[in-house]
Amino acid sequence: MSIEIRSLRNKVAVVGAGMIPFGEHYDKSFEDMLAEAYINCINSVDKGIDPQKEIEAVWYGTVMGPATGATVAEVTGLVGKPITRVENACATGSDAFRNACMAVAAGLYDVVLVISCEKMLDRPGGLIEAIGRAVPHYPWVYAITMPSAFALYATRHMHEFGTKIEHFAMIAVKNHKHGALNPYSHIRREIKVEDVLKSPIVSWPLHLLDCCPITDGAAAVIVCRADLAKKYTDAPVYVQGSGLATNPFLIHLRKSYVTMEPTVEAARQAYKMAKIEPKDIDFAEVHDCFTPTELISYEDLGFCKKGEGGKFIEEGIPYLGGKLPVNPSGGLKSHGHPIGATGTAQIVEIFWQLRNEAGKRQVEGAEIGLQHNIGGAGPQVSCVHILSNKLF
Amino acid sequence: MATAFPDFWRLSPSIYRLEASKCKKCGKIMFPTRKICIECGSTDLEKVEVARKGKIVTYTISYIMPRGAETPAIYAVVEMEDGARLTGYLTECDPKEVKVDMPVEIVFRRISEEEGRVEYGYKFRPIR
Repeated sequence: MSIEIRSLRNKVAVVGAGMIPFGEHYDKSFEDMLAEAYINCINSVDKGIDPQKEIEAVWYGTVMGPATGATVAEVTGLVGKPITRVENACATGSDAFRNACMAVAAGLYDVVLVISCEKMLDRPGGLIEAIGRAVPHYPWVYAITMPSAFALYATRHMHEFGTKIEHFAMIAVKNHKHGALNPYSHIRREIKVEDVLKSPIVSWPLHLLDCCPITDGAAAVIVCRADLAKKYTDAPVYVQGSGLATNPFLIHLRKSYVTMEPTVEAARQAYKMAKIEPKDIDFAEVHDCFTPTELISYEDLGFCKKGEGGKFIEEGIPYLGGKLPVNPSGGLKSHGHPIGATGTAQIVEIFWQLRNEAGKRQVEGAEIGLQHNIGGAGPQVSCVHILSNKLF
Repeated sequence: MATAFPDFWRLSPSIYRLEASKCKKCGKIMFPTRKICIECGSTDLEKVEVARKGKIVTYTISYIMPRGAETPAIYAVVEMEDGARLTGYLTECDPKEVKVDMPVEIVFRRISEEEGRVEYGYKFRPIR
Protein backbone atom coordinates (compact mmCIF):
# COMPACT_ATOMS: atom_id res chain seq x y z
CA MET A 1 0.00 0.00 0.00
CA SER A 2 2.99 2.30 -0.31
CA ILE A 3 2.11 5.71 -1.69
CA GLU A 4 4.01 7.44 -4.47
CA ILE A 5 6.26 10.22 -3.21
CA ARG A 6 6.38 13.51 -5.08
CA SER A 7 8.63 16.43 -4.24
CA LEU A 8 7.25 19.69 -2.85
CA ARG A 9 6.15 21.87 -5.77
CA ASN A 10 7.64 24.99 -4.18
CA LYS A 11 10.72 24.51 -2.01
CA VAL A 12 10.17 25.56 1.60
CA ALA A 13 12.52 27.12 4.16
CA VAL A 14 12.53 27.88 7.89
CA VAL A 15 13.71 31.46 8.53
CA GLY A 16 12.95 31.92 12.21
CA ALA A 17 12.62 29.67 15.26
CA GLY A 18 12.17 30.08 18.97
CA MET A 19 10.99 28.31 22.09
CA ILE A 20 10.79 28.83 25.81
CA PRO A 21 12.94 26.84 28.24
CA PHE A 22 10.99 23.64 28.93
CA GLY A 23 10.09 22.88 32.52
CA GLU A 24 7.57 23.38 35.29
CA HIS A 25 5.99 26.73 34.49
CA TYR A 26 3.42 27.06 37.25
CA ASP A 27 4.00 30.82 37.08
CA LYS A 28 3.06 31.05 33.41
CA SER A 29 -0.32 30.57 31.74
CA PHE A 30 -0.84 28.82 28.41
CA GLU A 31 -1.12 32.29 26.87
CA ASP A 32 2.12 33.45 28.54
CA MET A 33 4.01 30.48 27.12
CA LEU A 34 2.53 30.99 23.63
CA ALA A 35 3.46 34.68 23.69
CA GLU A 36 7.05 34.07 24.83
CA ALA A 37 7.70 31.37 22.22
CA TYR A 38 6.20 33.64 19.57
CA ILE A 39 8.28 36.68 20.58
CA ASN A 40 11.46 34.55 20.66
CA CYS A 41 10.63 33.23 17.20
CA ILE A 42 9.93 36.68 15.69
CA ASN A 43 13.11 38.10 17.28
CA SER A 44 15.17 35.27 15.78
CA VAL A 45 14.55 36.46 12.21
CA ASP A 46 17.97 37.89 11.29
CA LYS A 47 16.76 40.63 8.96
CA GLY A 48 13.49 41.19 10.81
CA ILE A 49 9.86 40.57 9.96
CA ASP A 50 6.66 42.60 10.32
CA PRO A 51 4.38 39.78 11.55
CA GLN A 52 1.01 41.49 11.12
CA LYS A 53 1.92 42.41 7.56
CA GLU A 54 3.95 39.42 6.45
CA ILE A 55 2.62 36.33 8.25
CA GLU A 56 -0.33 35.15 6.18
CA ALA A 57 -1.54 32.09 8.05
CA VAL A 58 -0.85 30.08 11.19
CA TRP A 59 -0.78 26.38 12.09
CA TYR A 60 -1.31 25.89 15.81
CA GLY A 61 -0.46 22.62 17.54
CA THR A 62 -1.82 21.53 20.90
CA VAL A 63 -3.31 18.35 22.34
CA MET A 64 -5.03 19.63 25.46
CA GLY A 65 -4.96 23.42 24.93
CA PRO A 66 -7.74 25.73 23.69
CA ALA A 67 -9.52 24.20 20.71
CA THR A 68 -9.48 27.04 18.19
CA GLY A 69 -6.88 29.48 16.92
CA ALA A 70 -8.65 32.37 18.68
CA THR A 71 -6.23 32.12 21.60
CA VAL A 72 -3.25 32.35 19.24
CA ALA A 73 -4.85 35.27 17.37
CA GLU A 74 -5.42 37.15 20.60
CA VAL A 75 -2.00 36.44 22.10
CA THR A 76 0.04 37.21 18.97
CA GLY A 77 -2.03 40.06 17.55
CA LEU A 78 -2.49 38.07 14.34
CA VAL A 79 -6.26 38.59 14.62
CA GLY A 80 -8.21 37.81 11.48
CA LYS A 81 -5.58 35.51 9.93
CA PRO A 82 -6.50 31.91 9.10
CA ILE A 83 -5.34 29.78 12.03
CA THR A 84 -5.68 26.01 11.81
CA ARG A 85 -5.45 23.91 14.94
CA VAL A 86 -3.70 20.55 14.45
CA GLU A 87 -3.95 17.62 16.86
CA ASN A 88 -2.15 14.36 16.20
CA ALA A 89 -1.28 13.13 19.72
CA CYS A 90 2.42 13.50 20.55
CA ALA A 91 3.17 14.12 16.83
CA THR A 92 1.01 17.28 16.87
CA GLY A 93 3.89 19.78 16.68
CA SER A 94 5.36 17.94 13.68
CA ASP A 95 2.10 17.61 11.83
CA ALA A 96 1.36 21.32 12.32
CA PHE A 97 4.78 22.03 10.77
CA ARG A 98 4.13 19.55 7.96
CA ASN A 99 0.79 21.12 7.07
CA ALA A 100 2.28 24.62 7.12
CA CYS A 101 5.05 23.44 4.76
CA MET A 102 2.52 21.85 2.42
CA ALA A 103 0.44 25.04 2.24
CA VAL A 104 3.52 27.08 1.31
CA ALA A 105 4.67 24.40 -1.13
CA ALA A 106 1.24 24.44 -2.75
CA GLY A 107 1.59 28.17 -3.37
CA LEU A 108 -1.30 29.23 -1.17
CA TYR A 109 0.89 31.37 1.13
CA ASP A 110 4.44 32.76 1.07
CA VAL A 111 5.10 33.18 4.81
CA VAL A 112 3.38 31.30 7.64
CA LEU A 113 3.81 30.63 11.35
CA VAL A 114 3.80 27.33 13.19
CA ILE A 115 3.20 27.66 16.91
CA SER A 116 2.71 24.86 19.44
CA CYS A 117 2.08 24.85 23.16
CA GLU A 118 1.23 22.40 25.92
CA LYS A 119 0.51 23.00 29.57
CA MET A 120 0.70 19.63 31.27
CA LEU A 121 1.46 20.38 34.89
CA ASP A 122 -1.56 22.34 36.08
CA ARG A 123 -3.71 19.23 35.81
CA PRO A 124 -4.23 17.17 38.95
CA GLY A 125 -2.72 13.71 38.60
CA GLY A 126 -0.37 14.56 35.74
CA LEU A 127 -0.22 12.54 32.56
CA ILE A 128 -1.93 9.36 33.73
CA GLU A 129 -5.03 11.22 34.92
CA ALA A 130 -4.97 13.79 32.10
CA ILE A 131 -4.71 11.39 29.19
CA GLY A 132 -5.87 8.40 31.20
CA ARG A 133 -5.79 5.07 29.57
CA ALA A 134 -4.54 5.18 26.02
CA VAL A 135 -7.98 4.01 24.84
CA PRO A 136 -10.29 6.34 26.74
CA HIS A 137 -13.59 5.18 25.28
CA TYR A 138 -12.82 1.50 25.72
CA PRO A 139 -13.35 -0.36 28.99
CA TRP A 140 -10.30 -1.27 31.09
CA VAL A 141 -10.46 -4.83 29.83
CA TYR A 142 -7.96 -3.90 27.12
CA ALA A 143 -6.96 -0.38 28.06
CA ILE A 144 -3.40 0.38 29.06
CA THR A 145 -1.13 3.17 30.33
CA MET A 146 1.34 4.94 28.02
CA PRO A 147 4.51 3.47 29.60
CA SER A 148 2.94 -0.01 29.34
CA ALA A 149 2.20 0.44 25.63
CA PHE A 150 5.86 1.13 24.88
CA ALA A 151 7.06 -1.51 27.35
CA LEU A 152 5.33 -4.15 25.18
CA TYR A 153 7.73 -3.27 22.35
CA ALA A 154 10.72 -3.32 24.71
CA THR A 155 9.89 -6.82 26.01
CA ARG A 156 9.51 -8.29 22.53
CA HIS A 157 12.71 -6.61 21.32
CA MET A 158 14.59 -8.12 24.26
CA HIS A 159 13.08 -11.53 23.46
CA GLU A 160 13.93 -11.50 19.75
CA PHE A 161 17.30 -9.78 19.75
CA GLY A 162 18.75 -10.18 23.22
CA THR A 163 18.51 -6.44 23.86
CA LYS A 164 19.20 -5.71 27.54
CA ILE A 165 17.61 -3.39 30.05
CA GLU A 166 21.06 -1.77 30.28
CA HIS A 167 20.81 -0.75 26.60
CA PHE A 168 17.65 1.23 27.36
CA ALA A 169 19.37 2.77 30.40
CA MET A 170 22.34 3.83 28.23
CA ILE A 171 19.97 5.89 26.08
CA ALA A 172 18.68 7.70 29.18
CA VAL A 173 22.29 8.36 30.25
CA LYS A 174 23.19 9.77 26.82
CA ASN A 175 20.16 12.03 26.60
CA HIS A 176 20.67 13.40 30.11
CA LYS A 177 24.33 14.08 29.24
CA HIS A 178 23.25 16.04 26.15
CA GLY A 179 20.36 17.73 27.92
CA ALA A 180 22.64 18.96 30.70
CA LEU A 181 24.34 21.10 28.04
CA ASN A 182 21.05 22.61 26.85
CA PRO A 183 19.79 25.74 28.63
CA TYR A 184 16.29 24.93 27.30
CA SER A 185 16.17 21.51 29.00
CA HIS A 186 13.70 20.57 31.70
CA ILE A 187 16.10 18.19 33.46
CA ARG A 188 19.72 19.38 33.34
CA ARG A 189 21.41 16.65 35.29
CA GLU A 190 23.65 13.77 34.29
CA ILE A 191 22.77 10.25 35.41
CA LYS A 192 24.48 6.85 35.38
CA VAL A 193 23.22 3.46 34.19
CA GLU A 194 22.95 2.36 37.86
CA ASP A 195 20.69 5.34 38.61
CA VAL A 196 18.27 4.18 35.92
CA LEU A 197 18.31 0.57 37.11
CA LYS A 198 17.82 1.62 40.74
CA SER A 199 14.88 3.90 39.94
CA PRO A 200 11.39 2.47 40.57
CA ILE A 201 9.90 0.19 37.92
CA VAL A 202 7.01 1.95 36.18
CA SER A 203 6.08 -0.78 33.73
CA TRP A 204 8.64 -3.57 33.39
CA PRO A 205 11.10 -3.43 31.67
CA LEU A 206 10.83 0.38 31.99
CA HIS A 207 12.23 2.14 35.04
CA LEU A 208 11.23 5.66 36.04
CA LEU A 209 14.39 7.08 34.44
CA ASP A 210 13.50 5.38 31.13
CA CYS A 211 10.46 7.67 30.96
CA CYS A 212 10.35 11.30 29.83
CA PRO A 213 9.20 13.88 32.37
CA ILE A 214 5.89 15.77 32.33
CA THR A 215 6.72 19.20 30.99
CA ASP A 216 5.27 22.59 30.09
CA GLY A 217 6.57 24.08 26.87
CA ALA A 218 5.99 26.09 23.72
CA ALA A 219 7.83 26.53 20.42
CA ALA A 220 7.36 28.40 17.15
CA VAL A 221 8.91 28.57 13.67
CA ILE A 222 8.41 30.70 10.58
CA VAL A 223 8.12 28.84 7.29
CA CYS A 224 8.39 30.58 3.91
CA ARG A 225 8.95 29.95 0.22
CA ALA A 226 12.62 29.02 -0.24
CA ASP A 227 13.10 31.62 -2.97
CA LEU A 228 12.03 34.35 -0.52
CA ALA A 229 14.12 33.09 2.39
CA LYS A 230 17.13 35.36 1.84
CA LYS A 231 14.86 38.36 2.45
CA TYR A 232 14.72 37.21 6.08
CA THR A 233 18.10 35.60 6.69
CA ASP A 234 21.36 34.68 4.99
CA ALA A 235 21.22 31.32 6.74
CA PRO A 236 17.85 29.69 6.04
CA VAL A 237 17.18 26.05 6.80
CA TYR A 238 15.51 24.09 4.00
CA VAL A 239 12.81 21.44 4.32
CA GLN A 240 13.97 18.62 2.05
CA GLY A 241 11.63 15.80 3.02
CA SER A 242 8.47 15.12 4.97
CA GLY A 243 6.66 11.88 5.77
CA LEU A 244 3.69 10.80 7.87
CA ALA A 245 2.26 7.32 8.44
CA THR A 246 -0.19 5.50 10.69
CA ASN A 247 -0.74 2.20 12.53
CA PRO A 248 -3.97 0.51 13.61
CA PHE A 249 -5.22 2.09 16.85
CA LEU A 250 -5.44 -1.15 18.79
CA ILE A 251 -2.04 -2.57 19.72
CA HIS A 252 -3.04 -6.19 19.12
CA LEU A 253 -3.94 -5.44 15.50
CA ARG A 254 -0.38 -4.34 14.65
CA LYS A 255 1.95 -6.58 12.71
CA SER A 256 5.08 -6.20 14.79
CA TYR A 257 6.28 -5.33 18.30
CA VAL A 258 9.93 -4.96 17.33
CA THR A 259 9.34 -2.54 14.46
CA MET A 260 7.34 0.67 14.69
CA GLU A 261 5.93 0.46 11.19
CA PRO A 262 4.69 4.07 10.86
CA THR A 263 8.29 5.22 11.44
CA VAL A 264 9.63 2.96 8.68
CA GLU A 265 7.02 4.30 6.28
CA ALA A 266 7.30 7.99 7.28
CA ALA A 267 11.09 7.73 6.96
CA ARG A 268 10.77 6.09 3.53
CA GLN A 269 8.60 8.99 2.37
CA ALA A 270 10.96 11.62 3.78
CA TYR A 271 14.17 10.04 2.44
CA LYS A 272 12.59 9.57 -0.98
CA MET A 273 11.36 13.18 -1.09
CA ALA A 274 14.79 14.46 -0.03
CA LYS A 275 16.52 12.01 -2.41
CA ILE A 276 18.97 10.98 0.28
CA GLU A 277 19.72 7.89 2.37
CA PRO A 278 20.12 7.30 6.11
CA LYS A 279 23.93 7.42 5.74
CA ASP A 280 23.65 11.08 4.61
CA ILE A 281 22.14 12.20 7.95
CA ASP A 282 24.56 14.16 10.19
CA PHE A 283 22.40 14.15 13.34
CA ALA A 284 18.84 13.45 14.40
CA GLU A 285 16.22 14.52 16.91
CA VAL A 286 14.43 11.24 17.65
CA HIS A 287 11.29 10.58 19.69
CA ASP A 288 12.41 9.11 23.04
CA CYS A 289 9.24 9.28 25.15
CA PHE A 290 10.55 6.05 26.63
CA THR A 291 14.08 4.83 25.97
CA PRO A 292 13.07 1.71 23.95
CA THR A 293 11.34 4.03 21.47
CA GLU A 294 14.68 5.62 20.62
CA LEU A 295 16.45 2.25 20.44
CA ILE A 296 13.88 0.78 18.05
CA SER A 297 13.84 4.03 16.03
CA TYR A 298 17.62 3.73 15.32
CA GLU A 299 16.64 0.63 13.38
CA ASP A 300 13.39 1.89 11.86
CA LEU A 301 15.03 5.11 10.61
CA GLY A 302 17.73 3.03 8.91
CA PHE A 303 20.63 4.14 11.13
CA CYS A 304 21.44 0.47 11.85
CA LYS A 305 20.04 -2.98 11.01
CA LYS A 306 16.95 -4.43 12.70
CA GLY A 307 17.94 -5.89 16.04
CA GLU A 308 21.17 -3.88 16.34
CA GLY A 309 19.80 -0.88 18.25
CA GLY A 310 21.46 -2.13 21.43
CA LYS A 311 24.84 -2.38 19.73
CA PHE A 312 24.34 1.10 18.21
CA ILE A 313 24.09 2.78 21.64
CA GLU A 314 26.70 0.47 23.21
CA GLU A 315 29.26 1.62 20.62
CA GLY A 316 28.55 5.28 21.41
CA ILE A 317 27.48 6.13 17.85
CA PRO A 318 24.53 8.37 18.88
CA TYR A 319 26.57 10.44 21.39
CA LEU A 320 27.66 14.02 20.67
CA GLY A 321 31.08 13.48 19.08
CA GLY A 322 29.95 10.05 17.84
CA LYS A 323 29.34 9.11 14.19
CA LEU A 324 25.64 9.99 14.27
CA PRO A 325 24.59 12.13 17.24
CA VAL A 326 20.98 11.49 18.25
CA ASN A 327 19.09 13.97 20.41
CA PRO A 328 21.80 16.60 20.95
CA SER A 329 19.01 18.64 22.61
CA GLY A 330 18.61 15.99 25.31
CA GLY A 331 15.52 14.60 23.61
CA LEU A 332 12.12 14.21 25.20
CA LYS A 333 13.90 12.45 28.06
CA SER A 334 15.87 15.47 29.26
CA HIS A 335 14.80 18.47 27.18
CA GLY A 336 11.19 17.49 27.90
CA HIS A 337 7.98 16.39 26.22
CA PRO A 338 5.16 18.97 26.33
CA ILE A 339 3.27 16.70 23.97
CA GLY A 340 1.79 19.09 21.39
CA ALA A 341 4.86 21.36 21.40
CA THR A 342 7.51 18.63 21.15
CA GLY A 343 7.65 18.25 17.36
CA THR A 344 7.91 21.99 16.76
CA ALA A 345 10.67 22.22 19.38
CA GLN A 346 12.59 19.46 17.57
CA ILE A 347 12.43 21.59 14.40
CA VAL A 348 13.72 24.58 16.42
CA GLU A 349 16.67 22.50 17.69
CA ILE A 350 17.48 21.36 14.13
CA PHE A 351 17.28 24.99 12.94
CA TRP A 352 19.80 26.00 15.61
CA GLN A 353 22.10 23.06 14.91
CA LEU A 354 22.12 23.67 11.15
CA ARG A 355 22.99 27.35 11.75
CA ASN A 356 25.78 26.47 14.19
CA GLU A 357 23.90 28.18 17.06
CA ALA A 358 23.57 25.25 19.46
CA GLY A 359 26.39 26.24 21.82
CA LYS A 360 27.93 23.47 23.94
CA ARG A 361 25.75 20.80 22.35
CA GLN A 362 26.62 21.82 18.75
CA VAL A 363 27.06 18.92 16.31
CA GLU A 364 30.27 19.75 14.43
CA GLY A 365 29.75 20.46 10.74
CA ALA A 366 26.05 19.54 10.75
CA GLU A 367 24.51 19.98 7.29
CA ILE A 368 21.58 17.55 7.24
CA GLY A 369 19.33 16.84 10.24
CA LEU A 370 16.45 14.38 10.66
CA GLN A 371 13.46 14.99 12.90
CA HIS A 372 11.31 12.08 14.12
CA ASN A 373 8.19 12.41 16.24
CA ILE A 374 5.60 9.74 17.00
CA GLY A 375 2.17 9.94 18.56
CA GLY A 376 -0.17 7.67 20.48
CA ALA A 377 0.35 4.45 22.37
CA GLY A 378 3.27 2.58 20.90
CA PRO A 379 3.00 4.47 18.07
CA GLN A 380 -0.28 5.21 16.30
CA VAL A 381 1.36 7.76 14.03
CA SER A 382 4.88 8.76 13.06
CA CYS A 383 6.19 11.91 11.39
CA VAL A 384 9.66 12.42 9.88
CA HIS A 385 11.27 15.56 8.42
CA ILE A 386 14.65 16.07 6.80
CA LEU A 387 16.16 19.55 6.89
CA SER A 388 19.43 20.98 5.56
CA ASN A 389 21.38 24.22 5.51
CA LYS A 390 22.01 23.96 1.77
CA LEU A 391 19.33 23.69 -0.88
CA PHE A 392 19.56 20.41 -2.84
CA MET B 1 -12.30 9.32 32.90
CA ALA B 2 -15.02 6.72 33.22
CA THR B 3 -16.25 4.60 30.33
CA ALA B 4 -19.82 5.57 29.38
CA PHE B 5 -22.62 3.02 29.66
CA PRO B 6 -23.33 2.99 25.90
CA ASP B 7 -19.65 2.08 25.33
CA PHE B 8 -20.12 -1.05 27.46
CA TRP B 9 -23.35 -1.90 25.70
CA ARG B 10 -21.84 -1.56 22.23
CA LEU B 11 -18.74 -3.58 23.11
CA SER B 12 -20.48 -6.25 25.16
CA PRO B 13 -20.69 -8.89 22.35
CA SER B 14 -16.89 -8.70 22.03
CA ILE B 15 -15.99 -8.26 25.70
CA TYR B 16 -18.41 -10.91 27.04
CA ARG B 17 -18.83 -13.33 24.10
CA LEU B 18 -15.43 -12.74 22.45
CA GLU B 19 -17.01 -11.93 19.12
CA ALA B 20 -14.59 -11.01 16.35
CA SER B 21 -14.84 -10.39 12.60
CA LYS B 22 -13.32 -12.81 10.09
CA CYS B 23 -12.61 -11.62 6.56
CA LYS B 24 -14.15 -13.99 4.02
CA LYS B 25 -11.67 -12.81 1.41
CA CYS B 26 -8.30 -13.03 3.19
CA GLY B 27 -9.15 -14.97 6.37
CA LYS B 28 -7.90 -12.32 8.81
CA ILE B 29 -9.61 -12.42 12.24
CA MET B 30 -9.97 -9.05 13.95
CA PHE B 31 -11.04 -8.40 17.55
CA PRO B 32 -13.35 -6.64 18.36
CA THR B 33 -15.88 -6.82 15.51
CA ARG B 34 -15.74 -4.30 12.67
CA LYS B 35 -17.12 -3.53 9.21
CA ILE B 36 -14.00 -3.39 7.02
CA CYS B 37 -10.99 -5.74 6.87
CA ILE B 38 -7.84 -4.05 8.15
CA GLU B 39 -5.72 -6.24 5.87
CA CYS B 40 -7.40 -6.25 2.43
CA GLY B 41 -10.17 -3.63 2.78
CA SER B 42 -12.96 -6.13 2.05
CA THR B 43 -16.41 -5.48 3.53
CA ASP B 44 -17.35 -9.17 3.31
CA LEU B 45 -16.85 -10.12 6.96
CA GLU B 46 -18.48 -12.74 9.18
CA LYS B 47 -18.85 -12.92 12.96
CA VAL B 48 -16.78 -15.58 14.73
CA GLU B 49 -15.86 -16.30 18.33
CA VAL B 50 -12.13 -16.25 18.98
CA ALA B 51 -10.32 -19.36 20.25
CA ARG B 52 -10.06 -19.57 24.04
CA LYS B 53 -6.40 -20.60 24.20
CA GLY B 54 -3.29 -18.90 22.99
CA LYS B 55 0.31 -17.81 23.66
CA ILE B 56 1.82 -14.57 24.93
CA VAL B 57 3.44 -12.53 22.13
CA THR B 58 4.72 -9.78 24.44
CA TYR B 59 3.92 -8.39 27.89
CA THR B 60 4.65 -5.76 30.53
CA ILE B 61 4.24 -5.62 34.31
CA SER B 62 2.77 -2.27 35.33
CA TYR B 63 3.41 -0.92 38.82
CA ILE B 64 1.78 2.47 38.23
CA MET B 65 -1.92 2.35 37.43
CA PRO B 66 -4.75 4.88 37.66
CA ARG B 67 -6.58 5.06 40.96
CA GLY B 68 -8.50 1.96 41.91
CA ALA B 69 -6.64 -0.53 39.69
CA GLU B 70 -4.63 -3.40 41.17
CA THR B 71 -0.82 -3.45 40.91
CA PRO B 72 1.28 -5.05 39.71
CA ALA B 73 -0.85 -5.50 36.60
CA ILE B 74 0.47 -7.90 33.96
CA TYR B 75 -0.69 -6.86 30.51
CA ALA B 76 -0.08 -8.91 27.37
CA VAL B 77 -0.63 -9.25 23.66
CA VAL B 78 -1.85 -12.81 23.10
CA GLU B 79 -2.09 -14.77 19.86
CA MET B 80 -4.97 -17.23 20.06
CA GLU B 81 -4.93 -20.69 18.47
CA ASP B 82 -7.00 -19.40 15.52
CA GLY B 83 -4.52 -16.59 14.79
CA ALA B 84 -6.63 -13.80 16.32
CA ARG B 85 -4.75 -11.42 18.59
CA LEU B 86 -6.08 -9.82 21.77
CA THR B 87 -4.68 -7.55 24.45
CA GLY B 88 -5.66 -7.81 28.09
CA TYR B 89 -4.60 -8.37 31.69
CA LEU B 90 -3.38 -11.60 33.24
CA THR B 91 -4.84 -13.21 36.36
CA GLU B 92 -3.66 -15.94 38.74
CA CYS B 93 -0.13 -15.27 37.53
CA ASP B 94 3.01 -14.41 39.48
CA PRO B 95 4.95 -11.58 37.77
CA LYS B 96 8.04 -13.82 38.07
CA GLU B 97 6.55 -16.62 35.95
CA VAL B 98 5.29 -14.60 32.98
CA LYS B 99 7.28 -14.96 29.74
CA VAL B 100 6.96 -14.68 25.97
CA ASP B 101 5.32 -17.78 24.40
CA MET B 102 3.69 -18.80 27.71
CA PRO B 103 0.37 -20.61 27.01
CA VAL B 104 -2.69 -18.86 28.45
CA GLU B 105 -6.46 -19.31 28.38
CA ILE B 106 -9.31 -16.81 28.57
CA VAL B 107 -11.34 -16.56 31.78
CA PHE B 108 -14.18 -14.22 32.79
CA ARG B 109 -13.20 -11.87 35.60
CA ARG B 110 -13.93 -8.64 37.42
CA ILE B 111 -11.77 -6.02 35.70
CA SER B 112 -12.14 -2.72 37.52
CA GLU B 113 -14.46 -0.43 39.38
CA GLU B 114 -15.18 3.12 38.35
CA GLU B 115 -17.55 5.45 40.18
CA GLY B 116 -19.15 2.51 41.96
CA ARG B 117 -19.79 0.59 38.77
CA VAL B 118 -18.03 -2.76 38.43
CA GLU B 119 -16.62 -3.68 35.03
CA TYR B 120 -16.39 -7.34 34.03
CA GLY B 121 -14.62 -8.89 31.07
CA TYR B 122 -11.97 -11.36 29.98
CA LYS B 123 -8.51 -11.94 31.42
CA PHE B 124 -5.76 -14.40 30.53
CA ARG B 125 -4.78 -17.20 32.92
CA PRO B 126 -1.65 -19.33 32.54
CA ILE B 127 -2.46 -22.91 31.49
CA ARG B 128 -1.00 -25.22 34.11
